Amino acid sequence: MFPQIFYDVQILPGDKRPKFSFTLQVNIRKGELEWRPRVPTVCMVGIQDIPKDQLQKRFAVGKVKIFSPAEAFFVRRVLVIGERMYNLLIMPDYLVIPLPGCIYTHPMKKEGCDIRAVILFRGGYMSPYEGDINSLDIAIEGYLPWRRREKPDYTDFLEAFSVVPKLLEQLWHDSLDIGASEELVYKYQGRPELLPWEEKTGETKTSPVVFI
Amino acid sequence: MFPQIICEAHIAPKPVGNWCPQFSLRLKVKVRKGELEWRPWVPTTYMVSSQAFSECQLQTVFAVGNAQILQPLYDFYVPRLLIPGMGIRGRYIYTTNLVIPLPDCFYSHPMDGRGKAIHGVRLFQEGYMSPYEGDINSLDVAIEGYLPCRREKHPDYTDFLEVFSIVPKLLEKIWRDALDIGASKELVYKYQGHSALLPREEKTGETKTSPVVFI
Repeated sequence: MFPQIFYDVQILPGDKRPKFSFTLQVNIRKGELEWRPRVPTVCMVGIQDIPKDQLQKRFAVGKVKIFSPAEAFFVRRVLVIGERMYNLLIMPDYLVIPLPGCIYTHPMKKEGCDIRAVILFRGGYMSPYEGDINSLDIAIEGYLPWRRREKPDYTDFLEAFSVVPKLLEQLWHDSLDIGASEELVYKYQGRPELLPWEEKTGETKTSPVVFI
Repeated sequence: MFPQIICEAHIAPKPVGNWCPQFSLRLKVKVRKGELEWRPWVPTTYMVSSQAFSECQLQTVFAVGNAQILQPLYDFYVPRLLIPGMGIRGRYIYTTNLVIPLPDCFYSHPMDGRGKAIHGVRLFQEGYMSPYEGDINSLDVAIEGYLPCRREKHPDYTDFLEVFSIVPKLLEKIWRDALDIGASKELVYKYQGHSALLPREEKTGETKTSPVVFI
């Protein structure tokens, strides 16, 4: 059974940098994600910081392509949810959601600083069991870049943000392909006979062997 | 006469997802009077993950069914081996030891990504097997753990079961091979006689003074 995902993105109207808010909540209860799907570290990186020749497309969620870097690349001012800003390496096992641009900490141009990437969550197994990730609680607020147009359009950011719950769902689904195995039993109870070794060619001669 | 071997291996079903199936291996041998009177030598035997060594480190010494039993060409170290009664230790595997290659490591936790990888297990500690005091007169091996999580649609663990099923056959082979250390014939030498008081020069051969019988 899949847990419920609460997801909300808002981009408010504004004449400078529009404010946005992004919340994601998942609480895994008993009986949900019993197959312990493995979720890699997922980050959103502004396209200007992505070395395009290094990206490998992993899959698409709707119109948005999800990438993994072929080699680690360095990004300055990466916001790690629940922590703070770091200069970080984006590793080859991360999933990268490309963002159309930076996000900002202040509504006014030349104020605050730009955030070039956001680590949404660190990799791990998701399940209700102790030691696994059993809840996600992400909340980001910030400002989108000022677009000097008559009718600036931010649907590209909305699309990128809206990928996150669908990506989670896809990762959970994909892990269901790791199938169950059958029970295997081997039983042997016997006493070797005093025969020349050459005559003992098969174990059935000396002992009952059961493969179930 | 050979003693009875009781061997049971069980691999529990793995649930869907990132879980490791539990396994257990049990081997019991009790050597009674009249059994293994020829005192077969059982070498120290390990089951070792094939990830813990390279092919050039070991050579095949014989086969049991389809399985190859290996022996190191030179001593090598394996970290994290399960030594019954002692826990998990690193151990040197010596050139006199036998190695049953395992397809992969064991694990100490049912949840994939948790617990630690165990590179193998010591099955027997070397010694002579017989009912006589001071020799190994019983084996009671009980191992439990978890096999690796195989991320496949239909994960198959029969390769592990095949390896486990080698254990009783290997013991049988070792016991049987020791029968090649044959019996010898009785030899008797008897001497009964008087040394005569002769000059030293005349006492050249013992046949001159005593009956000698070879049987």
